[in-house]
Amino acid sequence: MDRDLVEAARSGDREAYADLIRVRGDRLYALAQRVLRDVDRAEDALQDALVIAWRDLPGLRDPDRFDAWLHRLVVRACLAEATRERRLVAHLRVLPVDIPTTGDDFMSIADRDQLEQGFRRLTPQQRALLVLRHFEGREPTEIAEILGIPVGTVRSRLHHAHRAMRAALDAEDRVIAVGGRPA
Amino acid sequence: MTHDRDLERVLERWLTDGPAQMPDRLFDAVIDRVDRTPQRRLAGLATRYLTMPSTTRLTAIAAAIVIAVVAIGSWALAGPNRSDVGGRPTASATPPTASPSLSPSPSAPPIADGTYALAPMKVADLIAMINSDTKLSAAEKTFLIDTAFAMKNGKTFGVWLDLDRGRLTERQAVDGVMNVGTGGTYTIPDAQTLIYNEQCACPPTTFRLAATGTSFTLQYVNPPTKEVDALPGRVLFESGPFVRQP
Repeated sequence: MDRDLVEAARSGDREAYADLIRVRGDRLYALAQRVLRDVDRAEDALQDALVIAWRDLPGLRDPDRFDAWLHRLVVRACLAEATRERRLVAHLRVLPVDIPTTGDDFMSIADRDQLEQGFRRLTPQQRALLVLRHFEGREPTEIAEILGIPVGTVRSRLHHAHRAMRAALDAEDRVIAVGGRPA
Repeated sequence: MTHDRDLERVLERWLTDGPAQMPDRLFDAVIDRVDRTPQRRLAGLATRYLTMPSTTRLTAIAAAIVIAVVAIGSWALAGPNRSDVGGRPTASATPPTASPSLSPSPSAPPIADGTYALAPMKVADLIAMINSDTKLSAAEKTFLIDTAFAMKNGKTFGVWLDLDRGRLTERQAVDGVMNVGTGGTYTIPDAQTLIYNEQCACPPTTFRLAATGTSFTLQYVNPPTKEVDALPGRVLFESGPFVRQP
C-alpha cells in the first residue's frame, strides 16, 4: 500500500505525498524535537526536510527505502539546524510546562532537568544517535542506513555518545554537590 | 543517578516524554510549500559517482583535475588573441560578425546567460531506445520512463537549460508539461570545460564544452558507469546542440 503511495508521489501526485507524511508526521516531529530540544527549531527542520523530500522524491529509485531515506533527510535537516547560529531563546532555560510526562515517579523533576542539561551538552550528531537508538529503538544496522555510515562507526559513536552523556551527568552531579542546583 | 541506574534505560524513559504530535499548522505549511515546489525529475543525477568504487572515483576526480589544469595552462599560453575560442568552427557555426553581442570574446565566457533548448524529441523514440537497452533491468526501464523522464503516454519531449549568473537549471517537458530535472551551479574554467555542481551531496560533473556562439554541446569527461545513470545523461546533456532561445 505504502509502496503504491510512494510511487504515486514520486510521479508527482501531491495527494499521495500528503497521505505519506500524514502517517509519518508525528513520529518525525517527535524525532526532530528530541534531537534539537527546541519546538520551533524542530518545526523548521522538519518542514525543510519534508519539502526537500518532495522535491527530490523522483530520484529515489527504490520505494521500499522511502522511510530510511526520509529519516535521513530529517536527521540531516536537524543537524543543519543545530549548527546554525543559536537563537537567543535557545539560551533560555526550558521549563517543561507544556511537555506531557509519563506520569510515574520513575524520574524526579530534578532528574529530568539533569538529563536535559547533560543531553544539551552533547554534539548534535551524538544526540541524533541516542534518539535513533533509545527513542526510536533502532538497531545499529538501521541507524547506519539512515545516517549513511558503516555499522561499526555507529557502534563506536554510540559508545562515545553514552560515555559523553554519562560524563555530562556526572559533571552536573558535581555542580549540584558544590553549589546546589545548576544554573 | 548514573551510578544507580542503567543509563540506557533512563534515556529510553526520559526520551519518551515530550511532544508527540505534529501540529496541524506545520502539516498545512508543508503542504502549502509542496504545492509551490516542483519536483526535480532527475534529482541526484550526479550521485552516480557515489556508487563508484572509491579508487575509480578518485581516479575520475584526479583525471578531471589534470584536464582542468592542462586546459587552464593552454588557455593561459594561448593568450588573449587566440582564435579558437568555443572550439573548432563547424559548417553550421555562426560567423563571428553575424551576432556580435553573442559572439565569444577573450574576456567573455564562451556561452552567454540565457535559455538553450534541444531539438524536440519523440517520446516513442525515447521509449523504444530505453526498452531496447539490454543493460537496463525491467525495473530500471520503468523508472526511467515513468519517473525520471515522466513521459509515459506522452508524445513530445523537450529539454531546456537555463543559464543565469552561474546557476544551471535543467528543465524538461512532456507535451508542454514542464518539470525541473536537475539544478545547481556551474563554472566554465576554460573555453572547453563546463563543471556542473548539482544541488546535492555529490561531487561536480565535468563536461567537455564546444560552444559556437549561439549554441553549444556537452560531453561527459567521465560518463556514468551504471547504464541507468548514463542513459539520462546522454539524452539530457549529450543530445545537443543546445540552441539559444530568443
